[in-house]
Amino acid sequence: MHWLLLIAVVQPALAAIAVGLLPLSRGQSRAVALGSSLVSLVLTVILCLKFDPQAAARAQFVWAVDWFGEGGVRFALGVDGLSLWLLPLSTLLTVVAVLSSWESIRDGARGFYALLLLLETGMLGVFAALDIVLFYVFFEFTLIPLFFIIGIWGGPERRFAAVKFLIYTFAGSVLTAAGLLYVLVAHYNEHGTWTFDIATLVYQTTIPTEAQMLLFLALFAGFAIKVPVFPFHTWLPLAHVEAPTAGSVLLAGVLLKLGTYGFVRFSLPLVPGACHEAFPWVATLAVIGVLYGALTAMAQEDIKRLVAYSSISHMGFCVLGLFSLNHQGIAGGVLQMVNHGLATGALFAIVGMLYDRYHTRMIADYSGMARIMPRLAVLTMVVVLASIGLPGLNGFVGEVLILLGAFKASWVAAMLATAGIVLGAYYMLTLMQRAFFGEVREPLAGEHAESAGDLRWHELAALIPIVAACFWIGLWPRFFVERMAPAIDVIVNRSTQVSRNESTSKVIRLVRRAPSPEARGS
Amino acid sequence: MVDLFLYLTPELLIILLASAAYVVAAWLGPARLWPWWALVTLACAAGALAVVSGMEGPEDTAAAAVRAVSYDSFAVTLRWLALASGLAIVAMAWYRAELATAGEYYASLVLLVAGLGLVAAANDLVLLFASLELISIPTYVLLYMERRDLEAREAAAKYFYLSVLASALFLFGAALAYGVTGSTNFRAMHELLLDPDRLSTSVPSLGPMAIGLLLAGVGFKMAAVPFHFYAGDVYQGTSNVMAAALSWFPKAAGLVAAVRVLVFALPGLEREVAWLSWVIAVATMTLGNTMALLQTNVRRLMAFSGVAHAGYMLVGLGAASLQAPPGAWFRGVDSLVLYLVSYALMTIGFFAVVELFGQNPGGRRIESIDDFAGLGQQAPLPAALATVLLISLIGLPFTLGFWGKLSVFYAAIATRDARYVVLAVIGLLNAAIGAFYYLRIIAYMYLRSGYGRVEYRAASPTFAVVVITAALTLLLGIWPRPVAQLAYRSATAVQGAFARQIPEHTRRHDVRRQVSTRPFRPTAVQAAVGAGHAAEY
Repeated sequence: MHWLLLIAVVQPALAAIAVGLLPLSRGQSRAVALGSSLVSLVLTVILCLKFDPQAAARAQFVWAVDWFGEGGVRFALGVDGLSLWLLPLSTLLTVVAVLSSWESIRDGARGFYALLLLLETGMLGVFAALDIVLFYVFFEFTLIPLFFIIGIWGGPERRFAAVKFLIYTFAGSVLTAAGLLYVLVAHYNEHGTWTFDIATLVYQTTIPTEAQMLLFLALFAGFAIKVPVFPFHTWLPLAHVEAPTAGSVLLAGVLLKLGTYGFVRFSLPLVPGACHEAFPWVATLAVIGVLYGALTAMAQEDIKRLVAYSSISHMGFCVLGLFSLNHQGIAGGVLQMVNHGLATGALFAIVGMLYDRYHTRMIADYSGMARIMPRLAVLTMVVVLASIGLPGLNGFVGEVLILLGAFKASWVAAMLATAGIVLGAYYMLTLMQRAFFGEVREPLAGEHAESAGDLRWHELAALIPIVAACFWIGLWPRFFVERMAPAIDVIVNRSTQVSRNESTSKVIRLVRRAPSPEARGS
Repeated sequence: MVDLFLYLTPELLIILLASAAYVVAAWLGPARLWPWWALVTLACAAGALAVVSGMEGPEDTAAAAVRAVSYDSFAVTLRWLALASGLAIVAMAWYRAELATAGEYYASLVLLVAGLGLVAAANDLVLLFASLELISIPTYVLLYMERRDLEAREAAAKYFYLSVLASALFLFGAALAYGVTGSTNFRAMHELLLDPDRLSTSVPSLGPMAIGLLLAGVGFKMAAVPFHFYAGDVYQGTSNVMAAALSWFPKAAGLVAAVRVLVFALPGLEREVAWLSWVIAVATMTLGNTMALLQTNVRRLMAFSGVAHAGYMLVGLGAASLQAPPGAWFRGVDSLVLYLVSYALMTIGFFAVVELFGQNPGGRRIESIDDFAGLGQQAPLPAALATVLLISLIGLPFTLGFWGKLSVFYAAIATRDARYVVLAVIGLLNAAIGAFYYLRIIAYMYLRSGYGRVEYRAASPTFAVVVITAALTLLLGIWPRPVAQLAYRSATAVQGAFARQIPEHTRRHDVRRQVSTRPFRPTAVQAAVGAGHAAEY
């Protein structure tokens, strides 16, 4: 039994209960939130350092007890190569979220920080769950705190945004629930035993060919809405724009990854045949997402909307990488989840910092901010460069891996996606040029003069770790990739095995219809 | 016979004390004493139940096998649940002592508990029918008592006529079941149907009709489509306390009766039960949820929400009738027990929240969902507790409602029957629709600003009900193991009771004694005997 992981996951929820129930002031509750999220951050970093790269295919730091039913559902936590890096991403971005609401959340701070910490437990739980029901429990649970965070502390359209967000994602994920329940039955039909262990279910169950596509679609319904894959993205710009800064940071940084994580954890190993068959469709949607997101981002006048649409574009990249079903593509996809989380989380935090100072998010209102806030400008530049994939920073590694993988699977898709990178560089650098360079023009100068200084300690503390992580991944990617590689090999092996033996793709079916050498011999 | 009455002491005690109250109330009139009297009655019943719950029927003799009551832990679990929910209802109704008919009012309330307890214990069609009526008849009285306006009178009349019709349907179904098997005892019916040679008439002809009529009878109690249409008007036209009682006692009784009769007592007819439950479940869930979407009156909304929940329960009922393969985590009956526990907590708890704000004449009452506006700021604690209950009603994690829905849908999928897999998907989509109208209430509480004054008595029994139900919903949602084990044990007990063979040497004699009372055409043996007699003359 390893307690570290359990403490990292459960401790924020306990802190949330304390913050929610005790009569703390605003300063006290944010201090508790910061302390609790720092504890989880330290614990997850320790886990990453202690993680054994050789055994990355299996869950480590396992903690499990029986939870529900007779010999049924367990409360089982653990980390393997696929989930390893998502844990420190979640804890780091929670710290960022706490720090970026340091001054901006004034009303109902207690409730806000309690919900933020509950959300952290939910996110960590999804990535650490080893039991299929536990996974779903946390997957759904994340909706509740985020609903309130958007709905109570959000912008003018917050009510509509919160309800749409919850209903949209809940409707998708109930289909995922049906799919996951079906997996239990499929496992029983094959092996004659009931189990809820994710690893056993996904790696040892052969889904019948005729059911693969249906199961794929059921899982896709929930995960694609979370990502979001075009055309299921309509909830996202609304939710992002209306959410308070902390909500946007966690929504873009972590919660979108629940979808891609679901793909790599369940869809790819469970229904490899259907994934092969669906690749043209998924790749098409992913590429449309990449281009559509980028083009729409170019047209935005509101920085927050721009970042929201760029998320759609970048998440399309992740999906393309994952579904190319080869080692590079999946590794790139998993790494890009972390990269996108860091970059977009930081960008949303930066938008929040600008908004706190000038109460506007229009690009046109800003100019020459680099003169007024040089520290912010430097950090923003690094994050933007990371986001557009400059070599030496993290985005480059992920994008190269994804493009390598995608090229193997379909060169057309890879080519079109590359166009998305170019567009990404264009709108991001234009944003920098318009808002940070050029002649100095403060929006509403005079009215908010007192708050227009450069970054304060809590803002620096929010951005510097992210920038450091961007450099770390960009300069030493091996450290990250080698810890996930064995887990990805398992998926790739399963997928190639299946495509060799049981693929439902038409070409292979035609080939298989021809008599095999053995048959001819006999 | 003595042990049978001993076993039913809790319910008999309630009936005796209630009857006494009806008499005394004629002289005493309204008095502060009555709620206390109800409390004492339930406490006595609880004490009696604690004593007899460990009782085991004389299982090894054949006489016990065909007893009118069953001694399994399924019955005991539900009797406890009935008592606990009765306590909650009495607590909600604590301030009704000034009613002119207070004595009759509280006596009728506790009779509902006795009715549900007897339904849970009944092992015989006759006792089951009588127990179901023991729930219906006090309900008619109660519906007339609290409110005397036109709306309430319409509600009471509507409920009365439809309920009588449903009772007639149930009775007709029971008569047909008796006609098929020649027995009214569930165990004996089970035995006889497994050995069709001894049946007096062919099962295929009458069996499905019996199933259909019995399901219609319990369908009314559960407010399942197409017997649901009283629900909206009746709930809206009555008080919050009565709406809570209506949404729980008849529904639970209907479901428990359905489990005993349709799942276990009539083997060989599983296909019909599964088909009918499938159709009714789809209609009930879908109609309940879509109608609830359109409501603004909170009791009417909860009426249709109750219809939708009856649909989820029917999913479990159908799944229970199709036996899932062994080793399955949840196989139907256990999921229903779990669902009932979660439903009792969340529905009674939510009505208690609504009632809580109606108790103070100064503050604003909650009639329409608009009245929830701003409660998050105006009454933070009740609003937070109501949110827990609503999240449970949606079926989101870390509440007991999540586990209830999960186990019901899992049971459906675990049957490995293609229809039920589809049914689970339909049910899950319905859960998503349902999310919307519960969420709207949460959104009103937290995302809108309130108006007027909000008052509630934090020291009232009603508030205690809110706190306890919400806390249990949450705690059992985080750590569901105890209630899962309870459900599992109860289901295994009732399955075991029917699976256990009646000992061979006594079985023939006793079953025949049961069978010999049948009214229909003689069996081959009797015909032969009769022919022999005829030949003598």
